[in-house]
Amino acid sequence: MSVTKTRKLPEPDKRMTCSNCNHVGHKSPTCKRPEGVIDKVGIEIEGFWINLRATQTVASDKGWSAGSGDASLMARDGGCDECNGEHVCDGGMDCATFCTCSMCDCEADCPCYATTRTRESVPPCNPWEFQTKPGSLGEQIRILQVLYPDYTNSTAGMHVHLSFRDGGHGAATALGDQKFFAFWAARWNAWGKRLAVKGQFWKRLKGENKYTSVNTMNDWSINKELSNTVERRRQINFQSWTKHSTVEFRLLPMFRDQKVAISAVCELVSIVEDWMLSPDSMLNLEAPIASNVPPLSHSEVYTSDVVLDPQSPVDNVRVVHVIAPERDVGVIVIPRVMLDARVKKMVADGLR
Amino acid sequence: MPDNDVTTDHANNSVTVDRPLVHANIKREKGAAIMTLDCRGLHAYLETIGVGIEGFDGLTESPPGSRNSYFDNYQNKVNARALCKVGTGPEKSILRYNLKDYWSAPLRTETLQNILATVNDALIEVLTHYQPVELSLTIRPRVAPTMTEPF
Repeated sequence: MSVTKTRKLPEPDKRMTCSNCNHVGHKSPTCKRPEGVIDKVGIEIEGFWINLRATQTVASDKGWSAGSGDASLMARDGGCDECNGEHVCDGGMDCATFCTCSMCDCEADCPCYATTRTRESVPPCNPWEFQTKPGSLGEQIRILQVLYPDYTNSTAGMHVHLSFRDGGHGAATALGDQKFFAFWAARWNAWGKRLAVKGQFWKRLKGENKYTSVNTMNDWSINKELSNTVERRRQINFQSWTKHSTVEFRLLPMFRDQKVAISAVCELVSIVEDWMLSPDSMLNLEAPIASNVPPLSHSEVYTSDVVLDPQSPVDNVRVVHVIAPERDVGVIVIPRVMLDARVKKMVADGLR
Repeated sequence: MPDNDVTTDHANNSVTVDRPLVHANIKREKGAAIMTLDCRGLHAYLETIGVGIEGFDGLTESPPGSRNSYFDNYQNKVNARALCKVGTGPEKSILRYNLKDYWSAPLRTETLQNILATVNDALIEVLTHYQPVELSLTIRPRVAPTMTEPF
């Protein structure tokens, strides 16, 4: 099992969180963003902790989830028969290309160079997954900083769940669209280049990680609900709607650098918010309705005298007993379903 | 509801409605998917042929499919009953449905388009349900039974 030590921020970040847009770094009175579509954010934090029990205690004391085990973290990720994916390097010249490296975010491609590298001393640590208590983006970032793992590897993901206001059906539908998939990929490409991110992130973005393949419109059968996809291990997982009423974003790895992780979560929320403001996400669908009334001729003619026949083919007609002098009340035209009431009225009128 | 929407020609047994009977669309409003059914034309027409527009249960009088919901979330279609609802706002015939109340999970854009396409079928069902019939009735005195007739 290959793990990489993470770099944590020295203390929890105390930047301001806007109660309007949930972004950090400014207060609501200065916020120019309209009220967002996103209701709450939640994060699954996967990784390895040296003192897992202490971290669980911290989580419990703060009223957060104590988390759960994650078998996928124990999966072999090296794919190399020689080293079994368990080597790390000392930051040598080839490390950015060939191995999991403590100096950068590259991961093991592993045409094994293990024999030429020094093995990093990794203390015994425990794989685990914490789930944050859903809330604002600012709250999630604070929780992320407190619970950030000590080590990570290529299978450890940072899955972000978003729920949406007003039930969220419109927002989720807007995300299950090829245009959004293209927007998503372009924005992450730009973000990754801007921050010079290395390693597992790019593999995940290209769909080369089996836990986060790229979404396509072929994921759905015709006329199925958005949550009814063939596979949940996509960059954007709609199956989580069934269980949590959220859309799960599985693209992000558990970054070695906490600052990069925080930036990634903020970027993810920003991508979704920006998409919701774009005209392409507005779902302005019109019905192909016939423009006017079909022929409304009175196609059926029922004639009766004395009283209406109880065997009449008209469903709602009932027998009306009439005791009256002979009187022709003429022809009336009434909707089929109104027949009973209207006949009674007509008869009453006729008797008057 | 404007009175000039509907013109009735009794001599030719025909009704002309100036606006489309139903105009339907689905839009995203914040996080919600809202279907709007503008039934002003339909309701004006129904009123003209004698159907009560505001029934006791917020529906037109004797609406079709009394046991149905407004939508069929299994076949993904609009039921005729959805067009027979009467709203509470100033425009009682402009009906707004938040789809989260009828489907447990969001739908894809293509599915929403397919649902919209079923509005036409629902409209035809309503029109068929309320299809007028012509009735000629003559009222005559009841003939008292004679004593010779068997009971």
